[in-house]
Amino acid sequence: MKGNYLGEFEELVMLTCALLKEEAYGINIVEEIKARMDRSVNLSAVHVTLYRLEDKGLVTSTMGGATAQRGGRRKRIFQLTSLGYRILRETNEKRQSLWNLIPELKML
Amino acid sequence: MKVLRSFCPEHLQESIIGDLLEQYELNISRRSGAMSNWLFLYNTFRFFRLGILSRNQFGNHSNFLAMYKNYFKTSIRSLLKNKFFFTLNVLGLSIGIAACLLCYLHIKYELSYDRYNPNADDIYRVVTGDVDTGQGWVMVSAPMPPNIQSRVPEVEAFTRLTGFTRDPKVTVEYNRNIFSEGKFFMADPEILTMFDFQMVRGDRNTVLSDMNSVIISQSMAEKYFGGNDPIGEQLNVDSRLDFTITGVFEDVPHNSHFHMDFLISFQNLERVKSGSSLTSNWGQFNYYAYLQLAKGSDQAEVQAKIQDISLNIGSNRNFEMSSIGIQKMTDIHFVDNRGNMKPSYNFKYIYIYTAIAVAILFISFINFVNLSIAASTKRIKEVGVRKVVGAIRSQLVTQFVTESLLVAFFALGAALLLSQFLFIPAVNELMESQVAFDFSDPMLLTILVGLLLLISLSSGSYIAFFVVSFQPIAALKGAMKAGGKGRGLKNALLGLQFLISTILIVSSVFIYQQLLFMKDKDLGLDKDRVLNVALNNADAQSKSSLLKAEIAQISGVRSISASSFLPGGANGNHGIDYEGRTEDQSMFIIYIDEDFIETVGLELIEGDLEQISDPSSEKSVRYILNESALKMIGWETALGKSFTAFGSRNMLPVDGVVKDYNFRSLHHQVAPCVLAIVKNRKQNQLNIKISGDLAGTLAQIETAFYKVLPEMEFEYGFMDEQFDRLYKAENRTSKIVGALTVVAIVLAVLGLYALLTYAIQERTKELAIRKVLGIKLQGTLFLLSNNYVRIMIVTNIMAIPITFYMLDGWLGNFSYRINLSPLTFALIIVLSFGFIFAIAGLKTFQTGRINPTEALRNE
Repeated sequence: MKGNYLGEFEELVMLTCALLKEEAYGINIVEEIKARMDRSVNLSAVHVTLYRLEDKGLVTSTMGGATAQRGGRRKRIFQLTSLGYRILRETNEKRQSLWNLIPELKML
Repeated sequence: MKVLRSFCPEHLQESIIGDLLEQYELNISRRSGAMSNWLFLYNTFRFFRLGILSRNQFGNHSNFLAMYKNYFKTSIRSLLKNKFFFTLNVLGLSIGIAACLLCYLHIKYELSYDRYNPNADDIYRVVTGDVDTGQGWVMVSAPMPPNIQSRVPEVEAFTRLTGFTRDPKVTVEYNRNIFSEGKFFMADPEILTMFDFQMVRGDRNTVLSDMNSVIISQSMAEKYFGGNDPIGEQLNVDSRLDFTITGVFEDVPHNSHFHMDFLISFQNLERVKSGSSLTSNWGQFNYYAYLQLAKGSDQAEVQAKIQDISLNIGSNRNFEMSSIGIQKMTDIHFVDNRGNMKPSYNFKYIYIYTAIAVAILFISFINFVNLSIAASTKRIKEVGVRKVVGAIRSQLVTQFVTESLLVAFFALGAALLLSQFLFIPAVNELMESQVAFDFSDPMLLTILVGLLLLISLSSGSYIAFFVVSFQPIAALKGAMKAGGKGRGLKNALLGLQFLISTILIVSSVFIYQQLLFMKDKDLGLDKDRVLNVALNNADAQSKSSLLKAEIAQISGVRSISASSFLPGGANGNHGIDYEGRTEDQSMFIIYIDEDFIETVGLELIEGDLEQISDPSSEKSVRYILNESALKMIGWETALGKSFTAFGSRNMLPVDGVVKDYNFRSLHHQVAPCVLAIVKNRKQNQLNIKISGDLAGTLAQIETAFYKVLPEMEFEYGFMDEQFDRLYKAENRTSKIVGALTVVAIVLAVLGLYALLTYAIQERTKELAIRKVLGIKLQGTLFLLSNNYVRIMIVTNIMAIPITFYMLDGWLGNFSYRINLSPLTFALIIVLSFGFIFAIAGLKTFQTGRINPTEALRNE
């Protein structure tokens, strides 16, 4: 299915999501990407991507508990679905198989 | 934050705002406060993106849409079901809209006169007399403008302008082809910059610097040279002077107070016009003069300065500088002053036409409402169902407004089409204007949209109010009693419609009567079958006696004379002298020859015709006075008394007196006038009385003309037609009012028809019961029409004084006029009653076919 391919940014967000587990919400993802990938992304971009992934059924969201930090507002915690995991893995495997086909070139 | 709330879907808001705040706190810990504030704002606005926006669900969006779709569908269906009514509506409304559009275009055109000129506000014309009331004379003498410029600092430039000859036309010869041209002028070269002439060829600063240069308009270049280059070609003018073409200018826009095809330098004045002078002859007020004032000059101030100029020209003069004034160029078109180059436009007409256009729009609008209501009774059930299902009032109103909008939209389209292909060409021909749609004009678009909204909103809501006010239960039960509700208003609207139509009908009848009266009035001269042949250049004028002799031989020609008489005018207004004169007096003068009196059939009451028309007479001038002249002088008899129109030294005995005749239009009383037979004077036309076959004789005259003047153009006109042309404005008014009357009648008939249809629908059961009980056809007729007859009576009582007052004012323009006969009023009123009965009768005949059983069945 055409829609099952992941965009690069989508993949990145999903990976970060998986990494952060219980702490995977908007601003945390932004900070994580910034810290690990040395890449500055805009909060709104992350939000939009998360909502899109949710539409595709690759992540689900639940409202977390409120903290004093955010003016009492709850967080929306995102979690990968099993479909999300599978697609992420498949994407990685397919890419790996491609890498495996070109070892010689890599040496040059 | 509020901004974010306004566009962000609710279920996402909390977490997004939370994240934003958290980021803000993080930022604060890392950066300065101000920077964090900015970043917060920035990040907030970054959420204004498609991915967020599209997550909004617009409430009951789809439901709404479906409902509108349904409204639209039912509207179209009901319109199509009533194709007849629909067509009537669209046609009626489109006529109303078209009337408004045309009125707007017309007014805009008339107001645009001379406005294309960027200097328009700074240019003034030098005049004498009271130009604001139309009592002015718009020409002054040649030396005046340069003197004004040198003494009044505000005057930046001046130009003088005058026609090549005093005759209406002059001949222009190129390559042995001779044309008669009416728009040949001479002016100071400054005119080109002042009046913003656009040059196609040549530089406007230098083209007229040479006396022998001529510049021509683009259309003339086309006429004379086709595709060839006109620059450097020679034109021979009036068969005596040669000019070289040095430039071509774009045609003067139609909406200017002057027209021009050929232009030479004003320096030619002295050699073109004998007896004229560029530097002296201060009393010859024969030339247009325009001043360009510095921007922001005050008209009154400059005028005062001009009037204060003291001239060092001796005491022998017939004018004072204090009588000289200036007139704003943009005012020229709106006041009918003597000497204007083009007919002026009476400002009053703007109000009249606006009133008529609004009246027509109003009538068509009333019709539309009445027709729609008539048609909507059939839909009461539909409304009932909608109400039961839960439609709220505003939704129903929306539905009817949509429907009206639909009709109005069609009507607008029809109006545009009708105007573009039918009305605009007609109006342009009638008004001699060049109006056209210009859709880049914001005002026009505003009017279009405004009309559309006005019609749809007001009529739609009125209809809706009417239909929606039914109780759903009553509506569904099929009780369609509209009751007395809205009847008063409807009657008032109908009455107004009748009133407007009656006024228009009566007016058009009387205007037409007056026109007929003027056409047939005995003028004191016999204008029928008199052919006027123009002699447009010096050569032709000198050969006039030869031509006269040639034409006199034709069998169908009863008599022929040469004169300078043009219907509607005289050749001048001369100061006169006579034996026993006590005060200064002047009178019109018309130059004729020996045979003129016989040719146009003037009645001689004193003097001997044979003596007057004796060609071998040695007398240098023979004077023939008219009765009014006699009265003005105060003589019982004139024969033999000495008189002169050419200076006191040339007194001669009067040769005759003719009965008064109308040489001017019937707006004016017959003025004192002298006919002068000046020996060897060059006349600009021949008058030929034809007794035989018109077409055949005309052909023979043409042959004779070309025999004597092979290179000239044969230009002719009939005197009666020339007289008719004096009533152009009246003819135009008559045509417009006539057309509007037809429109008003058609609309009124449609409206009445619609109302009758409606009334019958309302009363089907009543009529059916009456029929069962044995009512006669006449009874039905009375039943149906008595309401309208009552309205009609009231309207007529109102219409008669209004029309009488208006028409009396209009007829006041004429010295010779018809009386407003009560008989005509009565006739028109009887006719209009007949109309009502005819329509009612038609409807009655239709109701006569109602089958009572069918009508009463579904009780």
